Amino acid sequence: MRTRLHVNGEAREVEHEPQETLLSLLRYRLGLTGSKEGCGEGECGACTVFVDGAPVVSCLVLAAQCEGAQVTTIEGLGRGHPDGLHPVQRAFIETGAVQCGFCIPGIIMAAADAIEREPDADRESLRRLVAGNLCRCTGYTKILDAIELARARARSGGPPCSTK
Amino acid sequence: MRSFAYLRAESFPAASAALETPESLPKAAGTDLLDLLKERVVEPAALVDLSRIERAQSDPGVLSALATLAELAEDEGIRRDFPALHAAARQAATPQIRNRGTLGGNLCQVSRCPYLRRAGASCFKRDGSPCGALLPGGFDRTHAIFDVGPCACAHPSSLAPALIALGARVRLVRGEERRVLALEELYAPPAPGRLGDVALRPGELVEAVLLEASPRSRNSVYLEMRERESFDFALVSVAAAVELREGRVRSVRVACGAVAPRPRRMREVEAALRGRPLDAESIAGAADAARVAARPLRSNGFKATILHRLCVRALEELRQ
Ligand SMILES: Cc1cc2nc3c(=O)[nH]c(=O)nc-3n(C[C@H](O)[C@H](O)[C@H](O)COP(=O)(O)OP(=O)(O)OC[C@H]3O[C@@H](n4cnc5c(N)ncnc54)[C@H](O)[C@@H]3O)c2cc1C
Ligand code: SF4
Ligand code: FES
Ligand code: FES
Repeated sequence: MRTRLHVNGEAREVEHEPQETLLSLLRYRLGLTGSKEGCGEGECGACTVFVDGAPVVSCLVLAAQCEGAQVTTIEGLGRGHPDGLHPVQRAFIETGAVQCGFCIPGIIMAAADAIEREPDADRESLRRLVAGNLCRCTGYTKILDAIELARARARSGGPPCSTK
Repeated sequence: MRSFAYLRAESFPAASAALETPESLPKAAGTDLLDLLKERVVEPAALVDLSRIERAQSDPGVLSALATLAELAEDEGIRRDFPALHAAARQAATPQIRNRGTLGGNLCQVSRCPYLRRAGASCFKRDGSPCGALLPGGFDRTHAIFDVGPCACAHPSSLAPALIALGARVRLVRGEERRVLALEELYAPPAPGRLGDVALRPGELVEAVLLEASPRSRNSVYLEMRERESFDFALVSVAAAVELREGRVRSVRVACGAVAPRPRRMREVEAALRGRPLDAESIAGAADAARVAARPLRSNGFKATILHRLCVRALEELRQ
């Protein structure tokens, strides 16, 4: 079957099997391998992308459901920002919040949404907002440091976070 | 995953008609169903996608089956008039799942029993074979403590007990025909092939959940206990709604999740409270009543203790 959708701002028309997930379409049909498959069951968040502006786990979304949808992946998150890096991505680099990196694209997507929707969230609320993302390496301390840094900058009038 | 025909429905009656196709299944957001498809627990020939159905104009007392958990959690009217539903929707699953998972799918979701979800394992509900959890050495820690028969699973929905405590009804649609049931009547005892534990007729769908705001619904609460703080299915959940008049319990509804194969209305707790002042003594009696009928399995006796404590905490919150 054929699905038409926008991925990172570009119109795409993709031929795929009805049982294919959005994650598999992104990775294997479009070569966007930033989104990762950790569990395939909705538990780890490594496959998080935005569909029509909201973060979702792309391993539990059928590609066929995305007819007409606007999809943003980690590859497109920084569009329109200096050097193509979203402020959350920049904060992760500066903080050294990444170890193996497998969970990071998903966490950055979830965090970018959290900061935009709840700019006044304290650390505890930020934890809750990224509770759908697991990291097996870091223990989350630096990840939360990075998210807090990005949030503080966004609040003090830094570059806008939105790229949805 | 086996391949299937993918049919996008434009309306509930059209979806219901499309479900006349043999071996077809409805899909809302698919956050539960995709997992079952991947594990080949279900292998439908056709999937009827409800997620693109145009939703009717929203009315405060009529929640579309296609409302997402995030929409329910963020709705100010729900927070004010149905705090138990607000709390259940807010705590369910992860932010990403709440952004997509629907109310109808949540109510019709399939048990998280690990035997049911692993193709090849023995499971009464899947094919009538002996229940894996009840076999010698079976894993039964997260299973039921009430109403265990040939299946011992614990119902996974956190919204169902909240909605039952709120006295919700469901509107079902089959072709052009509609009927309304009390939510607790949507659920049926475990039977082979009936994975979602719902008593829907072939092709019948949940179209909406109906709620009425009242002093009782406004004084409602939902609490759950789970193993992990970040997100997890509840080990036990308790929802209660109480209307007090002149210090006494005028009307009350209590329901629990994750303690029986179906969401369980706790009539014994309600009876222990009705007509009495809501005080430490009546609350202690009601919480004791909650576990009288409990018959834990080998390794889940702790659930009866959690149930007792959650009943106390929930009712304490409603004392005003
Ligand atoms: C990681 C994770 C954690 C979770 N934690 C929780 C939790 O803590 N509490 C909780 O309550 N839930 C939890 N869930 C379950 C989640 O809430 C459900 O998966 C979701 O609500 C289902 O909605 P859906 O639209 O995706 O349903 P789908 O997956 O599309 O459908 C689920 C089932 O319902 C049927 N169905 C769907 N819509 C209808 C309808 N309108 N009429 C009749 N049948 C229908 C489908 O045929 C299918 O069998 C969790 C899920 C995941 C993946
Ligand atoms: S508890 Fe129910 S769902 Fe689990 S194996 Fe037994 S019969 Fe199957
Ligand atoms: S791969 Fe999608 S949530 Fe883990
Ligand atoms: S950095 Fe390795 S999983 Fe998070």
